[in-house]
Formats: sequence, structure tokens, C-alpha cells
Amino acid sequence: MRRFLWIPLLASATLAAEPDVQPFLDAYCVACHGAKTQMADRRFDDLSADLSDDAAREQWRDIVGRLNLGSMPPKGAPQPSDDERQAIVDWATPRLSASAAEAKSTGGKTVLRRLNRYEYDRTVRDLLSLQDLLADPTDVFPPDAVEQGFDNIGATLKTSDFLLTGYLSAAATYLDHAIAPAERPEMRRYVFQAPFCPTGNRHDGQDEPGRFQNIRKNTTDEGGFLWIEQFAQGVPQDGYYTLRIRAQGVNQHYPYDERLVGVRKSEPLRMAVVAGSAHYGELGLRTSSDREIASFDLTAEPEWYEARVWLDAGYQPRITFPNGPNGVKPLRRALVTEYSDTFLSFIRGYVVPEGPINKETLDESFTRRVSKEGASKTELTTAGTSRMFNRRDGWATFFEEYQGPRVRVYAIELEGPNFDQWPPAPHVALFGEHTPTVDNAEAILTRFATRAFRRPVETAEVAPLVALVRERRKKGDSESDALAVGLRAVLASPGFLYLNEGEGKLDDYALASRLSYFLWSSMPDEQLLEAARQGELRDPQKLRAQALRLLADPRAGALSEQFVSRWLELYKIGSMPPSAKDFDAYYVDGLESAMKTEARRFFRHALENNLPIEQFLDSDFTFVNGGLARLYGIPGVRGSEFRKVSLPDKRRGGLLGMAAVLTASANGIDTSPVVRGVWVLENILGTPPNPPPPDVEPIEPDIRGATTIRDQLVKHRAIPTCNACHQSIDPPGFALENFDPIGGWRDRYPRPNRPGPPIDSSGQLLSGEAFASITDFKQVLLESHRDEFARCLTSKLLLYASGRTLEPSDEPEIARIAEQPIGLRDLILAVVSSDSFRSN
Amino acid sequence: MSRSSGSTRRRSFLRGAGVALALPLFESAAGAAEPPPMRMVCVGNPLGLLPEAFFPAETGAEYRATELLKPLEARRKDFTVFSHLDHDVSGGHRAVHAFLCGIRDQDASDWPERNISIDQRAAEHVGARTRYPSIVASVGHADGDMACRMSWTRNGVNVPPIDKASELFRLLFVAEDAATRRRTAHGYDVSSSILDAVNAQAQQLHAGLGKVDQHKLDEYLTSVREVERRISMAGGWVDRPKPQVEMDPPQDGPFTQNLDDFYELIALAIQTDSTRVATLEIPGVIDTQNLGLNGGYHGFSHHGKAEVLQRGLLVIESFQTRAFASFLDRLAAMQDSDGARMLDRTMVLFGSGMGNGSSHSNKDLPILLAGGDFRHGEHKAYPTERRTPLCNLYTTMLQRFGIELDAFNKASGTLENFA
Repeated sequence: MRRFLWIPLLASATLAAEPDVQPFLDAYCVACHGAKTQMADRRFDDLSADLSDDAAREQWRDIVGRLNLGSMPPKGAPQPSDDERQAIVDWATPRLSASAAEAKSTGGKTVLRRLNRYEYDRTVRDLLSLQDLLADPTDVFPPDAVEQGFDNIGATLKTSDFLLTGYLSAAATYLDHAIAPAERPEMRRYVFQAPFCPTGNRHDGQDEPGRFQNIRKNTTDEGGFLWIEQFAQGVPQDGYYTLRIRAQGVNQHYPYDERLVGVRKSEPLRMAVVAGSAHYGELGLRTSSDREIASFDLTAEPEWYEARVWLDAGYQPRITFPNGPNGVKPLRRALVTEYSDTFLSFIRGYVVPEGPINKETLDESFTRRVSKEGASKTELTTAGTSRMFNRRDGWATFFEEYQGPRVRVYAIELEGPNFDQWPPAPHVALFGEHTPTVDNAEAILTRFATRAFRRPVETAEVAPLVALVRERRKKGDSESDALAVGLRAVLASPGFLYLNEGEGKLDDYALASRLSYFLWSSMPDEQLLEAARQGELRDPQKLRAQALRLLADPRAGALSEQFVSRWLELYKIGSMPPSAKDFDAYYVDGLESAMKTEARRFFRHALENNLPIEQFLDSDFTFVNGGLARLYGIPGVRGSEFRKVSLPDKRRGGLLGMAAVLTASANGIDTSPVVRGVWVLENILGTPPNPPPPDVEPIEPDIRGATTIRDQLVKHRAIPTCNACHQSIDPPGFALENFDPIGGWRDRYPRPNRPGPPIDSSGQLLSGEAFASITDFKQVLLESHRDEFARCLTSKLLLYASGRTLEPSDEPEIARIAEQPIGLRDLILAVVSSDSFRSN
Repeated sequence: MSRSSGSTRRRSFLRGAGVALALPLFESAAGAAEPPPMRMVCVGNPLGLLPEAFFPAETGAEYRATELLKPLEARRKDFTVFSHLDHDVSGGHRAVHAFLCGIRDQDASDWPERNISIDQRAAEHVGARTRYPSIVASVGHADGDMACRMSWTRNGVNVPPIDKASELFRLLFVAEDAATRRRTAHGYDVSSSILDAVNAQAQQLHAGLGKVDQHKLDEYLTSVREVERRISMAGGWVDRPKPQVEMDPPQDGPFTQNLDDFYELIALAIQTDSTRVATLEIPGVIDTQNLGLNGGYHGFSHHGKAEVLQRGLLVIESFQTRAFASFLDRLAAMQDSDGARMLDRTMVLFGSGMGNGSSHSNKDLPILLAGGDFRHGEHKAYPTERRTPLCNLYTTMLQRFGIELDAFNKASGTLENFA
């Protein structure tokens, strides 16, 4: 059995010399936890110092926790000196993490790797030519397990009954869409005029039935969609449709303070088309079926906007105002209070029945009415509501006087479905030239399983599928239903769901799949499989050529999306959304998706241009749209389109200046040098620190006074056992302290209602280099830690590419690849050529 | 790998004893008249409850109600508040999901029953006696650390919650016409056929694999058996009519609007014996604006001791305890089939896997247990010098549920001084 120790490349984690462990235990512990007495069921007189032993490891974990905490030996008992205590902690800590890593080690082998949710969906879409399908049949899948940030590790990914149930239902859904109806559907044209949908109680006093209907806000939990009531059933057939919308952006330069409305006057008003299906919920609200299928920057005059869109049967195009105000209740209150002389009808009719109109009376009566109506909604016991304040008339009156931004929609036209071929591509993908009959079952299933399993199949593998089809037919299913059950079984079978890579050198097909899942997160295409058939992939030159070909294909977008998301932990963005109060730009400018786009575009650019990987540490360019440019303080960029900009400001540039990284390493509320420090150690330097000892209580932040997190950490580091890790963790975290939780720049910490203490972003790395600011810090990384970064990135790529955690045996190869200057594309090719990649 | 022991720790004892039992014992309803069933409802949030506003200063029966307990004053005799119980885990948000099992996902493989949660342990006991062995619901959707992930099976799998009130209503109470039921039964039949075929394939594949890969594929084979078992349990219910209740189908909306709907659905599910085990997850992202707040739930939980933020957090948490109090009122007013008070036949747990949201501590969890015919009415504080496992309370609860066991997961036994 394997018995090596896997030590993370961490300076502070090198193995300390063996101290006298047993004498320590005998002196301070055994009196209570020995042969005679075993308080708390613990006995240390015969405790093994071999931490690969499970039982001993548990005991040692406990001991280290207590020593760190200082809770043992108890008061009154003889106490070890700080040095003695530290020696034991230093001895045990790295051994504990090493043995934990070893317990998880698979000895350099990728365990039978299940496709994760992302790969499964992409694979089925490629397999069935259903790339544009709106439905996401995998939305019922449980989340995939994550190891070291990655969700494609074979040993970690679990298969459960919930997932298998999900596979069965998802397969049925995909196939429903792929199997064409017997008759080619007629093309139809639909024309819709305003009003398109009822507005609930938020009636717009400026709508003109017969001419146009307005959208006034972004979509929220309470609506914001303009949908087509008479088309609730959606289109009758899957397919491509021509969508035409006549619309106009009204009042881009509205007469109110921008901060109250939350819409940038400098940005064109935008219209997006979000497809949705009534099957998933009310079309006026967000549903899990929502998919944006088109978007347009609007002009101030009415124009026709056209797009070719895919719609699933049952879906309809709904129109939204993505950069509109975010909630109309607070907006109304703010505008009516600030611009009371322009909302007189509303005020007289609905807010202050009589008496003076001023900020105080408005505030008071708003509060009274909102709380009364709010209470009536959430607490059924409270009787009575106020007179129509939040009802149709109240809102209509307000909106009649409101001069804020609107998307005005005049007409919607839809024509389709258009087919390039009949039967359509998905149907051909399933059946090829065969007529879908039970007699053809073997041929159809053999052909489909060969593609689905990404390798030649054996008769014995297809036999149970053919038997299944015959059984269903015998049980009374129609020919096509029986056949569909067989196809469904292919998509739920282990041959499809798992990448079986065997042991030793990968065979051609396993290598083809490893390559395509690395670069595309999907199945190999016909050309790659053909190369496997010909045995070409064993030739390093030909493998390299295939890798280059795959990288040049649009499907390689999966690498920029998925690898970047896992490496930089961008998948965390959005799960802890920042508060709209403190970070309104995040919502007003749609930064959540913009910041992820920046990171992906940057990676893709580096890949396409084979830029030196040092560009990730610092660069003089990045990619922004109007919203991000505003966050970064870059003048002259407007609109939702991304473009490459140069960065004269050295504080930005490289990953550490990117909003996505700074948001992913915060929690939406505040920043922690510890969390960001760990982020840098794990993802830039590749030296993950040990997890905090289980018994140490986290630092409780206190933002009331002048104390900063830095002060608190200084105290924390005064404790030697804490300092052991925090001396590596905290400094890189300090370097990022000038960036707020969404990556905006700040000079002071926020404090409720007043300026907080100034930020000090200086520090000194454990390796000795001091820095005064983020700009300095990046220089330090470039000059002194370039190799660690190169190894880190290489390791992450190799881990992602091979679907397994790395082992000491991978180290020499990683070091070899990382030691010389290299561009990103060459680095990826070097990974593909490595022994670690080509064998299992 | 050597599994040498000698340790007296429970996990080492049990290792190996139960792991092979991939399928839970199916406890059949055969035999003499059963005693009236006990039910279990577990409610949790991922961000804890403000400790100063939850735990009373005094112990015993004469404690003064804290701000968060005030809405429950009328039910004082029907519940117990516990201090100093926890699972001895850490990890902040990353350990919250251990609330109902005591074991973090990442440590689950060290334990004989993985990280099975108390509700799923109870659900196994119920089996097919009710339409749904358990209901796991979340009041709206949440991702990542803002999701509670409270419910875990003995295979270490997180049970995905139903996060729409309309969907829960449909599952429980919407009658299906004959054609739909036929379709459902046909769907089960087709699934069974597919499972037979893929199982045959998996067996072929299994034979050609190395040990480690075989072990991985065992997950698939276990899943096949589990789904077959579920289908056979559900199959028996297809043609049995669903109960009719006087409740309008709920509209899906934001948290503040739907919380009561979920409670009502659970109450009705229990009354109609559609299930005896329900778990309700409160997500960490909710519509705070409808509580008159400017800022997110998670943001308020990071109060950093600032008073204005603590007050906001209290608005959110009081909203939760008020709704919970109404739920207890509802159960207290309901009668079991033999006329007993439904609250006495239902254990209702309320709490969190987070002890203090601001410091991200998973120690000293806020725990409240109502109903279940226990002797209630006190604030019970357990010793601070040594840890009392929260799993001891869970053991007590599972025994009350009718399950014979000595210690659930990390428990050292039942909870002392409580019955």
C-alpha cells in the first residue's frame, strides 16, 4: 500500500525535526490520560507517533487543538513552556495535513471520472446538436462536489440516487427536443400590439393602449417583464425564429439625480429579450426557465430591432429593461420627497391628505403607509390597508408625473420556425440514415452508443439496450417510444456518464476524451475520434496539433469559462451578493456578470496571443465595459460592449486588480486580509496554508471603534501558534486591503455614518520582501515569486486537465514546465504533452 | 490500509459495522396496531441567531424571555431552550450544513453512517408508511454558503430541497386525474426497465475495472438500487388518492410572503399523515426590503457589533421566530386522529448550524425544541467546561420517534436531564 508523505510546497510546513514527543506526553498528559485514568476516554501513554494511523491521527488532532487553544493541560496542572508547546505543535501540524492529504491520495490515478453537470450538459448538447436549447434539463441535478476548488475530480465526484433520477428525467427531456415530429411544421407569423400584458397594480399612467407600453424597471423578484399575455402558450415548435421589436429608449437624460434613480445617464438604455415558459411559473416574474436570447442598446427614437433567436416549444420572448431602476418603491419615495413640486397630484391624492408638503410630512406619511401596507401583506392579522397608495390608481398617478427612463415597446413580431434542413440536425444525430423502428434498434443504438461512449462499443454492451427496446415494445409502447427508451438508457448508462481511463498509458480514445474534456468540457468531435482510430494521438506532434486545433475552435470557450471560474474561484461570485445599499454600482452597472467577463476575456486574450504568463501577475491592459470602467475610474468607456483598454494606473493590471478576483475573495459585506491572503497563497503562489485548528474560535470583527482588522490580526499573531500560519497568510492579504468587497478602490475603511480609519496596505512576506502598496506587491511577485506562480498555474491546469489531485510524483514535471519563460498557449500544450496528462 | 484501533472512540468502534448496509432496513407496518406515530419537524437558518437576543440570561423555568423568544411567550410551556450544545466543528459557513448531523460533509467518510441527518434517519424508520418518507423544503432557492443543506442521507448525499411552495402544494395535495396517474405509473415502469438495462451494463463494466474504479462505480450501482427502492415505495401510492385540504394553492413569491405558506403546508402534511418528517430550510438570501430594511440578510449578520446592523438582523430573526411561533400555535390547535394535541405528537426543532454569524463560530448553537410530549418550559444550560454533543439531544429525539439506538452520530448517549 502507498506510504509516502505528500507535503504541500509551503515554507512553514516543512517537517520539523522529531522532538521528544513521548516525554512531553508523559510529563504533561499521562497523569490524567494514561494507563490508570483515561479522562474523557483518552489515553496517551501508548499513543502512536505514526500519524498515518487513523486512530492516532484523531487523537493528535485533538491534542494540537487543545495545545493551540491553551486549554490543556488544565489550570493547576504542570504547564509546558511556550517552546515545548510550540515544538509539539510544529511537529504534529504538518504531519496531520500530510496524512490527511495521503488519505485522500489516489496514487496519481484519476478515479473513474463522472461527467460533472457542466460537462454532461455540454456533451449532450453536442451529441444531439441541441446547442441552443433553452431548457436546462440538468437544473434538477444536485451540485457537484468540489476538491481544491475544482468540480471535475473523479475521486471526489459522487453519484447518488438523486443524480440518477435526474439523469433519467434529463435524458427524456433532451430526447423530446431532439426527436422531430413526423411532419415538418408550417412557418407562422405572429404580430402583437400594445398593451402586451396586464401591469398588476403598478400601472403606468403614460402607457397608450393601441400604441405602446412602457417598461420602467429592471427585473426584480416582483416583476419587470413585459410579456405577451395572448401568447402565454408560447411557440408551438422548437426552432429558430425571426424576432422583430419596435422600441425606443425614453428619457435617457432624465431630470433627476442619478443616485436616486440608479440609471447612468451616460449609458444608452438597453432592452433585453428573456425567453421564458409559463410551465415554470408566472411569465411576469422571474422563473428558473429565464434565458436571455438577445439584447440591444436603444436610441431615443422608435426603431425596429431584429434578431434570429432559438425558442423551445412553450417559450415566449419577454422584454426587459436590464439597466433600468432596481425597485420602484424606494424610487417613488425618494423622488416624491426630493422633487415634491413635480408630483403634486400624487402627493395630494395619496400621500398627505391635507396639511403642508415638506420632507418631514412626506417622510412620516410614507413610513406610516408603507408600514401599514407592508404589515398587511406579511401579517394577516393586521386589519385594513391604506387607500390605494400601493394600488393601481396610486401608481398610475405617480407614473403619469414621473419623467424617469423607460423602455417603450410598440410592437413585437415573431416568425418561424425556420429549418436549414429536414429532418433537423438533432434528429439526424440520433438516427443517422436509419428509419426509427424497433427492427433497426440494434443498428441505431450501436451507432448512437458509439458516439455517446466516445469509443467503439462491444455487442455485449448494446445487447441490454436492444433487449430493453424489445421489452418496452412487448409491454405495449409504440415503436418510437420503445426506441426512445433505449436512447434514454444510453444517456443514463455508465459508458456515457464516466470517463474510464484505465491504468498506465492512456489508450487513444481515453486520450481523445481527456483532451476534449480539458479544452472543451465536452466530447471529442469526429476529427479527434478519427485521429484516435488511426492511433495518431500516441504521436506527440499529432497530439499537439490536435490540441492546437481544439484551442482554435469556439468550443474552447469552455476553458476560459470553466477553468478560470474554478482556478480563480469565480463560481463563488453571486452566492453572497453585496448589499445594494453600500455597493449600488454592483447592481446599477450589472457588475456581477461584467467582472466575470473581464477575467474570461483576459484569459482568452492571453491564450490566443500566447502572452507570457507573468501578465497574470501584472499587465498594462485589461478588458472593460462601461460599468467596469466606471468602477476602475477609466474615463471614456461607455456601453455594454467589452473592449481592451490600456491601464496607465499601476494599481490595476493583472489578476490582483480584477474586480472578479477581489469579489470572489471577499464575502459581499467586508474584506478580510486572512481570506484574501489565503486566496493568494492558494491560487497565485500555490502554497495553501494549513486549515485553522478546529478549536480556535474565529476573530470576531468589531467595527465600532478605530480598531482595524489589521490591529486585530497583529494581536492574533502575538500568539506563537497562530503566528505560524498567519505570518504567511496576512501580508498578501494586507496588500489587497485598498480594494473593497466588489473591487472598488478605497483609502479608508467604511464605518457606519462616518469616515473610518485609513488603510495601510504595506507588509512583508515571510520570504523577506517588504512592500508598501499593491503596486509594490505585484513587483515583488514578479521579481521574486514568478516561479511559484508558474508552478501554481501549471499545477492547476494539470489538475483540471487530468481530473485528479496532484502527487509528489508530478512535481518534477511541473517544475520542468514552469522553470522557463512560457506563454499561456504553450503552457497548455506543455501540459497536454506531459507524462502526467498522457498516462493514468 | 491499516485500520488499527485500540482507541475507545466511538467512530472506530462502529466503523465497518454498518457501512455494508447500503440499504436501510425496511421497517414494515405489518403486525398489531401501532402506537400513535410521532412526527419530527426541523427548521434551520444558515446564519444563526444573535446570541444575546436568543439565549436567556437565567436558566430554569423562571427565565425572562429574550427578544427573539418573546413571540413564543404564549407557548412557554411547550418548548425548551438549550445553551452550550454544539457539534464541536468549525469552518463558519462551511460547517453550517452539519446542523442536523453533527458531521461535516468533508469528514463524512470517517463515519459509519456517513453524515446522515436526524430527519433522514427518522425518514428511514417511516419508510413507505406515508406517501413521502420525508419532506425537505427551502423557502426559496439559495446557492453555495447561503443554502442550509440540512438534510443528508446515509450515503453522504445532500437531499435537494423543494424550493417552491406551489411545487410542495402540488406534490402533497393536487389530485391527479386517471390519465396522469397512468402516466406516472408508466413512467415508473419505464424507469425500472432502464435501470435493469444500465445495471446490466454497469455489472459488465465493473468486472473489467481496477479496485479503486470499482469502488467508484459501486456508487452508481448503489444509486440504481436506491432509485429502484424509491420507485417501488412511490409506486404503491400512485393510485391512493391524495388528501384534500382547505388551502388555496400558494403563489410563489419572496421569502417574507412564502414562509407562512411553507409552515402551513408542513402542518397540513402532518395532519393528513402525508409525511411524518419535515425539514424546512431558511435561505441566507431573502427579501429584506419587504421587512423595511436596506441591506441583505448576510450583510446584517456581519454586524461587527455595530448597533444599527444588529437591529436590522433582529428584524429578520424576529420575523423568523414570529412565524415559527404561529406554526407552533397551529400544531397546538390541531388534533391527531385520536384527539391528542398534534404538538404533543410532533417534535419541532428550531436552530442553526451557525452559533454566531458575526464571528462565524459554529459553537454554542442556538437550539430550541418544542412539542413531542417532552417536559418543557425551561432554559437548560449545559456545562461550559466540557462539551455536550448536540447529537445527544438528537439521540433523545430519535428514541422518542420510536427508533432503538444508543447514540446518533457523534452522541455519547441521550441528553442528560431532559426527557
